[in-house]
This record gives sequence, C-alpha cells and structure tokens, in this order.
Amino acid sequence: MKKKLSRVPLALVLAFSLLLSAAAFSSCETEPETGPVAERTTFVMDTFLSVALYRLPESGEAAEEDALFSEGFALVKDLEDRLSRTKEGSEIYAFNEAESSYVLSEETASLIARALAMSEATGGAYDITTAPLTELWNVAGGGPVPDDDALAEALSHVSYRKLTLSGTTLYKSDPAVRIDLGSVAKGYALGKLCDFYAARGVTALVNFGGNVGLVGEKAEDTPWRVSLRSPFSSNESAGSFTLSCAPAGAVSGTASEKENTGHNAAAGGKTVSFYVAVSGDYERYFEADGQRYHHILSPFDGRPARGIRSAAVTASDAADADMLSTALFVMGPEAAAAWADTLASEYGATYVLIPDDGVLKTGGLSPETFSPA
Amino acid sequence: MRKIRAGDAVVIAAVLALAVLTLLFSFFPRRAGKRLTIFSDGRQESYPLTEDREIPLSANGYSLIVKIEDGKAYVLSSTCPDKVCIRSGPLTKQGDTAVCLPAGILLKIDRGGDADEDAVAG
Repeated sequence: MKKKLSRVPLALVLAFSLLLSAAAFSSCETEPETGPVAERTTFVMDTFLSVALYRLPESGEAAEEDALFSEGFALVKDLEDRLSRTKEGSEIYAFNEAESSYVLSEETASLIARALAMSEATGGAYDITTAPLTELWNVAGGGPVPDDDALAEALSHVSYRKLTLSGTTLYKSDPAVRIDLGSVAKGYALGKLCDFYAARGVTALVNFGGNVGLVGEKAEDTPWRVSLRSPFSSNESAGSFTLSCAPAGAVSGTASEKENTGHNAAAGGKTVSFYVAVSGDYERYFEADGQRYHHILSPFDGRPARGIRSAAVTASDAADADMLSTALFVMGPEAAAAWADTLASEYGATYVLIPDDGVLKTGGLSPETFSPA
Repeated sequence: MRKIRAGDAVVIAAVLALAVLTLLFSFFPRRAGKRLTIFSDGRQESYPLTEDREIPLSANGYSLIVKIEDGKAYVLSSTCPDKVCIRSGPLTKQGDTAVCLPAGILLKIDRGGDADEDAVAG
C-alpha cells in the first residue's frame, strides 16, 4: 500500500514533466522562422547596399536566389551610371558640363521633375543645384572651410529656379549651374530595387547606406523592427520603429494611401513596401577650430545646415522619404515641425527629428509605431 | 505517514530537472549567437562576438584592424582618409554597421538568438 501511494506523486511529476517537454517542443514547431534566408552586400553609389531575402516565392531555388541579388544589384548600378555627378558618361555629368541644356532619358527627366516639385513644396529647402557648394566644401576630402567670397560665389549659382524642364530637356539659366542628385538617387534606387523584389513576391529587407526598405511581411502578422541610430552615440539607439508591410489597408499610415508616380507599383497587389530614410550630420563631416562641418549644405546660406542632428522620415515612397529627410534637416527643427501637416497630407509621411538638444520631435507616429529609446 | 524513498526522490528530481532544462533550451536556443560579419572584396566572413580577437583586413590599398572585445566589435585603426569606420564606434546590436567606403569593407552585427532589431537606420 505504501509503495503504491508513493507512486502517485511520482506519476504526477512525470505527467507534468511530459507536458512541459511537449510545450517546449510544440513552441519550437509553431515559432515562425523570421531570419533571412540569404544576405549579400555590395558597394554602389558611394555607400553600401545590403540585401537580406526573407521569404522567396514557392519555386525559389538557389539559382533564382543568385539572380535576385545579381539583377537587383545591376539595376542599382545602372542607375548610378546614369545619375552620378562624378561619373563621366552619366546624364548628370553631361548636363553639368553642358552650356545651357541637355536631353535626358525619360526616367531621369521624371526624377528631376519630382525633385523640382519637392523644391517648390519645401520653399527651396530641398534643392538639387547645391553641387557647387558640395565641390567647394569638399567635406569628403576633409575641407577646409571656404572663405566668404568663395562661398558667396558658389551660392550665386545655387537655385532650383535656375532649372527648367521641358519635356525631357533640362535647361539652365546660368552655365555654372550644376546638379547633384545625392539627396534622391539612393532613395529612388532603393524604391526601384524594392519594387523589383515586390513584383517577384519576395520578402526582403534592404539597407542602402542607412536608408532602409522593407518589402512584404517578414512573417504573417510580424512587423519589422527598425532601430534609429542615435546621432550622439554611434552604438546607441534613439528609438525603434515598428513597421508593418501588411497588405493594403491592414495598417493605417503604412499602406500606400496616395497615388504616386509609378513607384511602389506593387502596393495595389499583395506585396507592400515601406521605407525609412535618415539624414544625419554624424558620419560625413570634418572638424576645424572645434566646429563640425558636415555634408548637408543649406541652399539658403551655403553652409552646413544647423539645428538638427538627425532627421528620419518614413513613407511608402523611397524617393519621397529620401528628399523629405534632407528637406527637414535643412529647414531646422521649428520650420520642419511647422511643416509636419503637409508632410502627412501630401506625402503620407511621418518623421522623427533629433535636434541639437536631443529632445525628440515626432510627427504622425503613434506610440505603437515608434518608441524612443 | 507516507514516505518517498530515496530512489524515488532521485528519479523525481532527475525527471523534473530534465523537463525544466528542455523548456529552457527551447526558449533560449541561440542566446549567445550574435556575430560580426565582415563583407570585403565580394567575400564575407563571420566571427562570434563572444571571442575576443583582432582581425587585420586589407582591400583597395587600405589596411584596417578590426577588434572584437567584450562582446563588441570596432575598427581599431584604419589607413583610409575619412575614418568614418572608426567614428562608427563599437557595434553591439543586431543591424549595427560600420563602413569603410574607400576600402569597400562593411562590418555588420548579425542576428543572434536574442534578436532585437531587423535593421538600423541612419
């Protein structure tokens, strides 16, 4: 009898243990695999382009995986060859060298048209004619700080109003006008690359020099988490975005709510893309006399824009996000915040601004979508 | 007064311990798995962040020394002109990157078991 009774708790313990083990194993089975299946990086447009493929179409074989990388990278390289300011043979190089006009390809002309529209919309804070300033400051080469006369001379050739686009012909009213698509080309290329993956039903995460493109859902009902780098400390986060690429309508503010110019073409279908673009002063700069001179130059005074350390914009269009992050950075914290409503209504975009004082200002972001660190 | 025999107690303890361990391992399968991946010259190499080491790299005529120390990876020195890679500071979180454009080298922290973020923007 004694012997039998002592077996009762033992049986219970065994049963309990079995349940625990079963729970453990079943959690293994149901846990969705959310890591990338393949990842590659290349260097293009003066920065890194890192593509992580998460979910491939059913027929995804290794050979197709290779093509997804090589064709995607080739697409971006092709854009670099056409849009680079410094590459001989590019359309932009040719325009900059031209005396008064140059006939662009349709695609480049339509990108320039978007950039000019953004200049109008932002009161000139966004301007692609800052190339004379970029060349004068030579931030990548370490300066030095130009003198006032040289700055005034360069600035006299800076204004988007000196450009006129007629059909695909771009005219300049001043032969010294030079354009630089550094504030939109990467975003545009990121959007095209993500469209390429979306059209093939591929779930992907693309990091293009710190601008992030999200294509499709990592796993069903699993949002992407994108950390925003702190401008004050390189290994710290300023906050974290939780962004869904669920099919249109599932999450407000992320699905494509506006008609755009052919980008994110797959948004009406099943694969949605979303973007985070960041303009910051903490990576490309030189120091002189204890001052930091960074690469985002104001078309208003020709000097590195002050007041904001980092401007992040999320939008369903990558080129918009890229241009807007630059525009907000140039505007400075007050003007940028005052312009926030337009940002939401015209571009369906949200922002995080990190001014010099480190007090985060966000617009259009719910606590679920962005949480400061 | 019922008594559990010593043998029974041992079996109970062993079975319980086994069950709890199974559960723990299933929840934390790859806890210490964060890695530093270095992309250079079309190749990539991956190192665990748990083992301290120095990694000398050279590409495009530039030389870098990458150091892994106390679960962090950073560029200790570089002959490149702009030093952006050194400014990027220690990398610790998944998605953290440091880039040396002149050398064409990218350092990136890849997911471990305790995946935090998918990417770092900025």
